[in-house]
Amino acid sequence: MPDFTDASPEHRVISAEVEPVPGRRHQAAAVLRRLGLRVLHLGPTISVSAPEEVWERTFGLPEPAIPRELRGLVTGIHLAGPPDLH
Amino acid sequence: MTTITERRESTVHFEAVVRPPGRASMFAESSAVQAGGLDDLRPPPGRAAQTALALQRRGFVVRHVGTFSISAEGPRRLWEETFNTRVAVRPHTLRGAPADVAAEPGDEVSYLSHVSGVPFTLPADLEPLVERAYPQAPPQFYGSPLPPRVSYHHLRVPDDVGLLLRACHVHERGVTGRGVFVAMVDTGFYKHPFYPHHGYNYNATLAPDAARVDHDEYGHGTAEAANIFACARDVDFVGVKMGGNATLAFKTAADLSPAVLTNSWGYDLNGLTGLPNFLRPLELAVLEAVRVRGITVCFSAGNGHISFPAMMPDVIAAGGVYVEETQVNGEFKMEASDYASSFDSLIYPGRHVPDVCGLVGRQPRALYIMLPTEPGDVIDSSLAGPGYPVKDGTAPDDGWSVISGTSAAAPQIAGVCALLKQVQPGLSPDLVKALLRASARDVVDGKSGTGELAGEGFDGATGAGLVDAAAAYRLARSVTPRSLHTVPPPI
Repeated sequence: MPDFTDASPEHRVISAEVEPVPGRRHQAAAVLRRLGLRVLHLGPTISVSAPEEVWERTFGLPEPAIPRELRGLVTGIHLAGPPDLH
Repeated sequence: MTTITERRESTVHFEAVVRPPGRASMFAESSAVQAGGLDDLRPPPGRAAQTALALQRRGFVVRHVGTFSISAEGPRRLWEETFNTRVAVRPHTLRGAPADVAAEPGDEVSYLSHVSGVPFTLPADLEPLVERAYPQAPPQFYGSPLPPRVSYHHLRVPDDVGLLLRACHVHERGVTGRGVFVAMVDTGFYKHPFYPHHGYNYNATLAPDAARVDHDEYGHGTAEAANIFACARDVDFVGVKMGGNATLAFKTAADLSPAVLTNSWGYDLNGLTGLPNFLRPLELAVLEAVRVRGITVCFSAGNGHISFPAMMPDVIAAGGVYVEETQVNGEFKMEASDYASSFDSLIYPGRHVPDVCGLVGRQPRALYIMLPTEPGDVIDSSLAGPGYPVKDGTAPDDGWSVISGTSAAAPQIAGVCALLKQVQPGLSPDLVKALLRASARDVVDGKSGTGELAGEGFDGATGAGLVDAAAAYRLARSVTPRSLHTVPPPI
């Protein structure tokens, strides 16, 4: 599994799933891109990744909050955690 | 014949490059080798033979006369005097599976290598014939398609796993998973020689946040994928290597629209009565895969974990059964694996895990199935060495490890699902699961890793029991799938 713990904050990449408001996922994805996140997959939820500093600046960490630009477009932002291998 | 471990300290083994015509050189940066054409580098007719004779006259033993170079060897002193140079003994640790029965991975051998910075001069008789000559170091050896031998009871793929799950009987009827697309999400899918040597259609791709498609740094996916082919040798397989976001990898795999999607991982939700918000996207992706795309999704139940998404009612949750070496009344003795999870979900009321079981080892580490890994990866190196049942008795970089867990069970069951989908492509995920449960072999002994007992009929430890591919096949060939949408609504 990728391990970013040794990376510096500007190189530490954080992945997340974003829950869009129904019918507004494309607008949400566009704003996420404008905020500096990479949109990796667009489906029922939006997969994004960005360096830790972008997360800190835009959403706050460790509990990301929905910024003003995304209000009305997304309902939740969930940071991805590594699974257990069985 | 000199083997890799013999005479390395007294003999220089070398390649002498036959001088090409004109000013061409294979050592030039923009040589024809890089440009893709070899004719410019081809020595004039007869020059290679002349070179071989010249080397022999000087006392070297010529082993092979090639188009571009001569393979030869000679005593250290002859090499140093001929080329007015110096070589030194260098140690070399053998990795992988050396092609020499006298050598073991990890053995240290020595060889003679050119000393950096020391001049190397071609004598007048060789100068027109030889462009350069280089002592050759022993190579590294990569994973063998054949597993090593270990002394304790274990299963091998594909034969033992296919036999015990009765998939071999189905293969004999021409049902091998041909034409069925199976995907798997895991740590990576190294191109181990095991796969092409068996003729398997084994492919890998990346989740958008993953890298190095040809490698599996951990080794888990490369190993566990072999369980699919043990049950369905002709499936079309794509492994999706996950990066930092497992949900993204799952969605990437679902976008491929496989018939079957298997997952040997999950999140431990022990004690939780509600799904954490960060897992809602994964839950949604699984629901979409099963209900909207019609993909049969398998998840491993966990190894003592209370695992999500295995606890979702829409998936096939794979538990574990251990089959012993001994037979009783012509049947191998079997019991619930004390390594595998079983539990009632506190999040999805009425849901019990597992549905059915595959083959899984026992405590302490479930070392049970010999599986291919990338040589030297985390699994290969961490389990290596003597000391079963804690260590697996293989070498740290031979590309083979003895492992299992419910990570092995899920792909085994996925392989059986593929057999059913070949027989009846229209089977819904629910119907596939129902057929597996209805046809499984009852397991009455043992208890699971979470303490539930096996017993007559459907039980806590093993669910419906060990998957029986032959019995499931017999049901699948007879069933008539019906779309619910064709049934008139109730009045």
